[in-house]
Amino acid sequence: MGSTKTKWRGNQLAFFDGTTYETVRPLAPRVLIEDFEGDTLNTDKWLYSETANEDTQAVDGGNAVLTFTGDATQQEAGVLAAGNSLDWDPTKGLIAEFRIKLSVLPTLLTEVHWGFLGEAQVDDKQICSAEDYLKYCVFTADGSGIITINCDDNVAGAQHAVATGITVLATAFHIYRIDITNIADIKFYIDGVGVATGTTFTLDSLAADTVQPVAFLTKNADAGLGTMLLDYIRVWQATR
Amino acid sequence: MGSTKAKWRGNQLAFFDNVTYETTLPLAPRYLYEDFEGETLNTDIWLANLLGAAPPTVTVADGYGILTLTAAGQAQEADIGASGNSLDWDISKGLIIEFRANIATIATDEVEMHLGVLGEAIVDQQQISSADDVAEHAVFSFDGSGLCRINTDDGTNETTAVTTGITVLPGAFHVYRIDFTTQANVLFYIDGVQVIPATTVMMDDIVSALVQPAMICQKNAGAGLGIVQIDYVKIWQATR
Repeated sequence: MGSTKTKWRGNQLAFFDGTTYETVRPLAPRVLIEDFEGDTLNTDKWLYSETANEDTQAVDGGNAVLTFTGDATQQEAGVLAAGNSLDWDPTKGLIAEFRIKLSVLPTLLTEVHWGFLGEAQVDDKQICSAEDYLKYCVFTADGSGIITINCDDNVAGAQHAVATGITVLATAFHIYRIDITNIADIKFYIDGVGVATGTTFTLDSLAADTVQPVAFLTKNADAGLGTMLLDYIRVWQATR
Repeated sequence: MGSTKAKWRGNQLAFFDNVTYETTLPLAPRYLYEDFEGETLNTDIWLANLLGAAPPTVTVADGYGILTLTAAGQAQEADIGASGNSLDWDISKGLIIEFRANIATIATDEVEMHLGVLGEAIVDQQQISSADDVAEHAVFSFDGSGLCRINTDDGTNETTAVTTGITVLPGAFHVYRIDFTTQANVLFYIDGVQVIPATTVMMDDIVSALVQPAMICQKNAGAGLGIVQIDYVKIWQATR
């Protein structure tokens, strides 16, 4: 059981758990905390991905539970901003944190992504097996428990499949944080430790754009599996 | 008007009002705050359990969740539990739950009112005070009067109708807190003052530590009345 501690990032005070490095309460001007309590998705704020093709999406046990069933078909399962609204600004000290367990590790063509999209999430668009999205900044598990980072602002210099050195197990939750307090040097953390620190991630050309927090599974075809337990999403901005 | 002060319980920092002892903000990893704003119960998170034709009601108005029984001589339930009766909270992980409630119409005759947690589903006509129907619970109870008593049971250890010495009046809100940060010594507070301090309440032999918050107003027969206004429910855990 960790003790409450404080940190100072992007000029904002925040409290965190001293053991897990979970940000329990950022004291920022704009904060969204979604803990997926109850047994129904709050559709005032969130939207499930396309629900066709036998994938399942539910809220249960304090988690959003997003599952591919192994049917040999294109599938989507995810949690997106309601209306695919791009309401968060990467130029204003944006930070997002996700607590996730891949309780069934992705196989075959299954891609799992969580982070930010600078556009709507669309059925049968991929990031790894095809470069269908133009603007994103995500943690990725592509066909396995190996966690990589994909970041693209639709200009030259996109970073694809950058290794974090972390391979997750199906038994463990991890806390993933994306820190865009400097849009020219985005930081990624897993369980409080900086990952892919040798790479400079940028979203410079998104300066005029906004983004949405997302967590989704996608595959174009085959019988790939995958289940994501999404315990929480927290998003905050240092300015409005 | 009280001042904001800080406390440290279960290694978690929290802020409270030093006059009412309301915990205004716990900085714990998992935190649910229901303030019953608006005019409809949020059924994404909560379940209204009703029994009786008279009818009893569960409503949301004026910032309160309101449980109302009528004088009809019949079995009645007006309860709020977790949506789906889901047992999503864990008393082995530093759980604390707090209610601000007004016993607006004092329980009469066979009416029982309970505020706390259950380790099982809310079931019609199951009683805690006049029968031992609920195997796992830890609650503040009002049984046919305004005298507040403590009832707990973990399936092995039982605390039965221990008086707190507090008799509430209709119209007066009180802050009721149950602190499970030590499962073998569960603590109860009313308005910041520990009650039944001479009784060691043990909940550490419970088979599963998972519980749901429960607000119950019920009777199995008779013309008894009772109205409970719940201003808020706050529940938090030190670890996930």
